[in-house]
Amino acid sequence: MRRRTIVFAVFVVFASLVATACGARFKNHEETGGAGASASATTVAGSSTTTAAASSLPSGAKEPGPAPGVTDTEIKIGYLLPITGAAPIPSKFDKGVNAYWSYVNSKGGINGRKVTAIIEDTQSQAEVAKDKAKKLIEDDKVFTIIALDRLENQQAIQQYLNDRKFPNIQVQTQPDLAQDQVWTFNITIDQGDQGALIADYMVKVLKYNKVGIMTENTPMLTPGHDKFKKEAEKLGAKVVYEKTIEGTQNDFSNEALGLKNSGAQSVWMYMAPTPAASIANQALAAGFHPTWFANSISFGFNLTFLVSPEGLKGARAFSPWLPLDDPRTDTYKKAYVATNPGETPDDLGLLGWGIGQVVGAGIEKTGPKLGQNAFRDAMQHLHFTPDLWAPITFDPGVREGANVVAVLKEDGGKWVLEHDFASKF
Amino acid sequence: MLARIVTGLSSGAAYALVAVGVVLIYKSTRALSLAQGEIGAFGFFLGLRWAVRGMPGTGWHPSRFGTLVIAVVVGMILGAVIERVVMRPLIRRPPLDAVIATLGVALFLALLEQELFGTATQLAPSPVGDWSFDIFGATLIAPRIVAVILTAVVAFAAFLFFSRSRFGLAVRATTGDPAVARLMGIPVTRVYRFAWVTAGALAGLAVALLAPAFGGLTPFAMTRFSLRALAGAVIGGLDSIWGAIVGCLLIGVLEAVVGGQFDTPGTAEFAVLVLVITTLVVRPQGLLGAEAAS
Amino acid sequence: MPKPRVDLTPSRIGSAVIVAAVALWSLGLSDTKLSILVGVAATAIAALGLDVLVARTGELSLAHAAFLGIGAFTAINVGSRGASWPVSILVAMVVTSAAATIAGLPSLRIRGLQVAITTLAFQVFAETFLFTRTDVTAANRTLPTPPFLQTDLRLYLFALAAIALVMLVRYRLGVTKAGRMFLAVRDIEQRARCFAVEPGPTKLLAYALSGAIVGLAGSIVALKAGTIASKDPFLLIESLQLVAIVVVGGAGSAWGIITAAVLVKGLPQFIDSVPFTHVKPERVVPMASAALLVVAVVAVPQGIGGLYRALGRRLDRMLVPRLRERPSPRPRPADAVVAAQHAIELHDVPRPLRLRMPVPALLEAREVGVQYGGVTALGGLTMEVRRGEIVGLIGANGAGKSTFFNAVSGLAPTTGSIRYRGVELTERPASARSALGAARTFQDLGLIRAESVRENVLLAQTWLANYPSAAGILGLGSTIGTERELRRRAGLALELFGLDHLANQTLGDLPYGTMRIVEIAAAVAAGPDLLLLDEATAGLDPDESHAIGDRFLALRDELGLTLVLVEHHVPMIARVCDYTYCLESGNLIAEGPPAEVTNQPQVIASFLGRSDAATGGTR
Repeated sequence: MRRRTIVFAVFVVFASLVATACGARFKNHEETGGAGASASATTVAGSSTTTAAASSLPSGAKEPGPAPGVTDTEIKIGYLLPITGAAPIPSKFDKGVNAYWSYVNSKGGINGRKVTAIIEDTQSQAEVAKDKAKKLIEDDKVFTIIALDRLENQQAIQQYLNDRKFPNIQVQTQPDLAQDQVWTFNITIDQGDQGALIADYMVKVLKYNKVGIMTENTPMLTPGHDKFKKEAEKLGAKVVYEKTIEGTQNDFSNEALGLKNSGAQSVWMYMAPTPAASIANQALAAGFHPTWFANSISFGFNLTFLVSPEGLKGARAFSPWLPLDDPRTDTYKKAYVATNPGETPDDLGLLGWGIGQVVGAGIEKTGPKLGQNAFRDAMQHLHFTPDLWAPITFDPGVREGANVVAVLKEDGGKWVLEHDFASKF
Repeated sequence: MLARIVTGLSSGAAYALVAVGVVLIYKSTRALSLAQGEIGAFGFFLGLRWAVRGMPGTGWHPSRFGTLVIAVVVGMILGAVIERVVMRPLIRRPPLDAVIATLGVALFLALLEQELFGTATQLAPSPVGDWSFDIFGATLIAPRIVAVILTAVVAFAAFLFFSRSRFGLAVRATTGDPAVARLMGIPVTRVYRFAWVTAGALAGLAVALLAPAFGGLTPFAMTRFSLRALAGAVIGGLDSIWGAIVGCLLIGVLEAVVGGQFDTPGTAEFAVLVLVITTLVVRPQGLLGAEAAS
Repeated sequence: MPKPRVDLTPSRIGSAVIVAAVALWSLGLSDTKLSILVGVAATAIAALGLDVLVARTGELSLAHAAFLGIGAFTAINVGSRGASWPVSILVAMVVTSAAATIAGLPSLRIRGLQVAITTLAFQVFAETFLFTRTDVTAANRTLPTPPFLQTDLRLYLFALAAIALVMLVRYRLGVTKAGRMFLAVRDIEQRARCFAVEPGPTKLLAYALSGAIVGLAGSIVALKAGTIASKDPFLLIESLQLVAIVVVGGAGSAWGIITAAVLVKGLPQFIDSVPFTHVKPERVVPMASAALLVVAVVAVPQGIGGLYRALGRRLDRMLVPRLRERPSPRPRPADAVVAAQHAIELHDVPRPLRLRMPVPALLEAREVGVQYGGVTALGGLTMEVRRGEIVGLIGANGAGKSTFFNAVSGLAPTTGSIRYRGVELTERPASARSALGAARTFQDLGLIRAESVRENVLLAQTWLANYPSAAGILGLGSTIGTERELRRRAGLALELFGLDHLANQTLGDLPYGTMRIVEIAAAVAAGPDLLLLDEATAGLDPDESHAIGDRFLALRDELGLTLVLVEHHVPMIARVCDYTYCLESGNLIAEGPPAEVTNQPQVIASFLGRSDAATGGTR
């Protein structure tokens, strides 16, 4: 018995070595080190016609760069979204994505190229997200990647894609954003700065002086939490309630009690919608009803009102997109119905539309000679006002293109616009 | 502080409702069920869904109280099915196998809920009305108060049942060795079914009261919640109904007090961990348990 | 857990070839897929680590995802501060091992289900407390990739090597003291102490080993990720998935578990949609694995590993079609001379002088009492066993005979004094008494039925395996030599009792009587001076009874062994015993030479009436 094991083990090890030495791998991947990632990108794009076109440019002109996924008639772009897993996005999101690109394609595409969107599920896990990013780049050969996920996962994706020198658009913006990630473009407000801005709105606009904050137990939310607190105190308000909660917590009776005793007038719930709705309900039951404050992707969907219609009355939210009732969303609504007959457009689809618009604008601005370097440069200078998304202002060195928020208010079970896009109050 | 204790007690009473079912199953089958949370949740999800969309086939929209009834009934059905299909074949196997099986059942039910009802929280209006009551500065809403009352009722009923009724004595005597029990003339199969069906009913009841108290019902939420019920049952001694209740109340109060005192997240969980380990190390049979460690 | 025949060696050449082929094929996959497989490998290793606990020791841990996280975060913490990669991995393994040991501490006092709950509490604690602290999670630190692991292929090979290492460790468990100790704790827990196995420390060792393996898995996760910003891969649901992988794969079967890991973790990423449907596999696989978990526990306890074994057996029969003669499962008559030689060899064990000196009274029991709750099982028994005697202990069921044995072994709470060669046994822990020179058998078989005959005989010699268990797992120093010696002794003991042709048979497959003789052989293999045999003739036919009686006499005559026999078989007592004690309801009612005792009226009234049958009573 023992001899067989040793024979077996030796066999496997030897076979593996032989296989490596003889290059028994059937795909022609070069072995690249981390620094050679751009080399691999070039190899991967070797078959695309645009690179051939690029190499025939007169010398002196700026190289557009590799253009995987780009032909004369098509551009492939990839999306990384959490569809399953611990923190999934409700699945209606991709309807907005498809609605936008269908709309664009029906108008002839961008510079004559139709856009195909490939959506991959990150399963709300950073490692899976990286694996899927890899798949999009190496197997699907997309031109650029758009990612929307939890802050930690986005950070991991960003890091990975920047290491590979692959242009990517990130929807959420973590605090303390790395400024040297030149291939990444974040299109919402820095969450750290947002915290201070919320304090500004609460104190200066809504005129509260007793505020509170409840944050989910994640290290990446701490800077936003701290900036909120500092700003509120700087403005002379008191932070009368401050608590960290578990995202998976059910029982908020303790917190409800504490909130009631604190007498807070407005409380920022810096967390996912599920615990937020739960808190609002339980606080209401305990007899406490402040002006709840939410921030965009975590919270500002009309869906949340279904769970807490009474509790969230009069709530506010910072948002990078406009509410569904705003006339500027009409194009979206029409296109949504055209692409998804029988369905009602919702504010989840809004995101897909808005993000698509920004990326579309970047691709358009790059021009017909589409390459990743040129795309990056175009994005870095993009000044663009989408229909329903925050106005984008990228300048050299600026990594977050939308330093503004719209302020939404709850009214009759829906979000309505209280204050148009602004960067300070 | 008093308000915190009251709040904690009401939470503990809610855990206790689930824990009583767990103990009931344990006493008669030596199996520890981790699935009670989801068994209750599934039924309540169905009830809530039908309240909004109408029951398929009949189009009936249950009232708020109807959702509680549905939760209880579905819990009973699920309990019976699980007992017959999953647990009965495992009777002669080591108890650990049964635990793992209930784990699988809980996982499956939770994932099924995600598929059928979505991952978002469901609005869960209180089936017992919207009144509330202020005690010592803590406002307790109807479901919480009803939970407390029901726990007391269940405790008393259990006491009567186990000490006075013939069937109750039969349950006590079913030590998990079906051969011996049968020899003593005990209808072993009926005992098992009774345990699981009752536990299922209790689970449905518990979830129907708790989800509104927690402001909504989410898949997996009740499993996480039933962990505390389990901890309470284990502290109290897995074979003692009173122990389970006392244990759960202890945990509820401990969480409320510790959670209120300290801002650092996780201190309440840490305190519970310490409590569980200390109790089991100092008194392996649990606070009110009678037998030595299983 | 369903108690599996723990099969750690690759079954047969056929399966070895298949495995090598699959491994080779996998090298041809694209980088993307290799990267996914690295993650799958890490999960497989973590599941293999959990399996050590579950299959070998019978402990269920619901905290293994937390341990995985501890391993990964530690590797990043250490590696990002400048440590080289071997150091990072080693430290991660040590820290995870320590964490697992701490989480396993409650198992010293409580058992089974409650330990599962405490591990659950640990998992929740890790999730909510440990993994939210940035100093633990090294949130902004990156583990630098070692230069030789820069490509996906190399990382994949590294992961394969790690799997091979873990398989090697599992193999070692199968051939060393620690593995047997784990199984003993799983199946016969308290009785294992009679084999010098202390359940508490043994369990902790199992946790430590399991933790070390999971630490390795965590290191691989860290190497692949570089930096880990969220605790999602280490939450409770991942712990539950690990349990599902172990159960569906088949506890104890490494290949089954690896397959299950590939299916659960790898499949959703390899296929875009479930065949014939538009459903994404990520939505189906978790539910399917939960359902499979239930199905596996209820109906297919051997899991995928069981399927492999069945397939392997079929392949075997095809490749090696020689007819296997099924050995007769009864003991064969052994040559007396050879038997005597073997016995003398077996008796030659290292023991301090004072435990080898001839003393008149080997065992002296004075006012020995055993009380269970309100019941007096043994009330003040005083008796003596002289060296070189064969003493018979008779009495009706429930008279206290086995209880007396339990008192001598240290398994019952005892009052009074029991001196063995002048050493006061009641002051010694049960696990130390095997080394003193007393061995015993149990009325209902105190052996591991799921293991082979040879493994059980090796288990009985645990006190002779005087190397540290951990060293045994690693195969250090004298451990291999010691094991070889123990195997030789086991062979001698089995030959002595005519059982050597059954050495590889699973104990539980043998007829009852043969199992009992195996137990005696095991006891003799331990080289004792005093043998306490509880109903040795139960299940034997008259010829076998006679043969075993001869064996007893031979052992006494040639080796000077002292035997105490609990017997119901009167002819055996009459033929073999020098002295007899008769018990009734915990008290001594008669003693003397057998002929006298068996003629006394009280003895006849109390006990005779069942003189020939071997009744298995409960004690």
